[in-house]
Amino acid sequence: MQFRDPITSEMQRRWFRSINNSRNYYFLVTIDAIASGVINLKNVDPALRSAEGGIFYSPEIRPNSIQVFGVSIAALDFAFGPLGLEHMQVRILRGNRKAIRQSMGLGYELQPGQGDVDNQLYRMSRDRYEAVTIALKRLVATQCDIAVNPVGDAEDSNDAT
Amino acid sequence: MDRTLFVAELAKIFEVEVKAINDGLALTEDNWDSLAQVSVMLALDEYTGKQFPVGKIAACKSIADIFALAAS
Repeated sequence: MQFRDPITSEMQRRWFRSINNSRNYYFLVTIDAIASGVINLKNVDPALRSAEGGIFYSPEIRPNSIQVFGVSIAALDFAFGPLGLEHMQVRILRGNRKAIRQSMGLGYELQPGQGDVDNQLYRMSRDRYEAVTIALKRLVATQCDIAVNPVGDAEDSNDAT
Repeated sequence: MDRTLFVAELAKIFEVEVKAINDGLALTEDNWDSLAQVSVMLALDEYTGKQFPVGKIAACKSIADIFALAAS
């Protein structure tokens, strides 16, 4: 996560107004019936069929390994399925080994030219995601009890008409 | 999957040489992250034909514990 400064209420309201549209999808993650974090698909580009992913867990929550992957798989299945995307990307701070390994476990690959970049770009295609996660999805399906529900109301969307 | 392949898979998961996969190899915060745990779950499934609950996997403190699960 690149932005780590304290957030005011006004900053929060301004941010929500900026993302309440069809280019951004935010989901509340519930694990074992507890609101645990947020996972998002932002900056959806319909022409390029791509978006950027992000995830945040409440510091008090410690999801287990299956839950960690289960949450991401739920969002990525939505991205590559109903949303019809062909590519996903994430940005990960260099040195965040845990996040890097989790992302690579889903199929993300470090992009060229990131050697001097702190917030490094990883990308994957739908085909790569499907190939890499076959066995993982079977495991998650049998061992995971999570819910990923959309946040926000379509009626309040800021989409221009 | 036979034991040789299982050990080779563990070596790949922990990014060590095969000879380093022994009972004494400790599982710590450095090498026992979520990717390692799900990868071991998948390897155990292939080696034993059994799925182990994630709690049992996460509770492993060394390679010896993983081998004990495989033998259970």
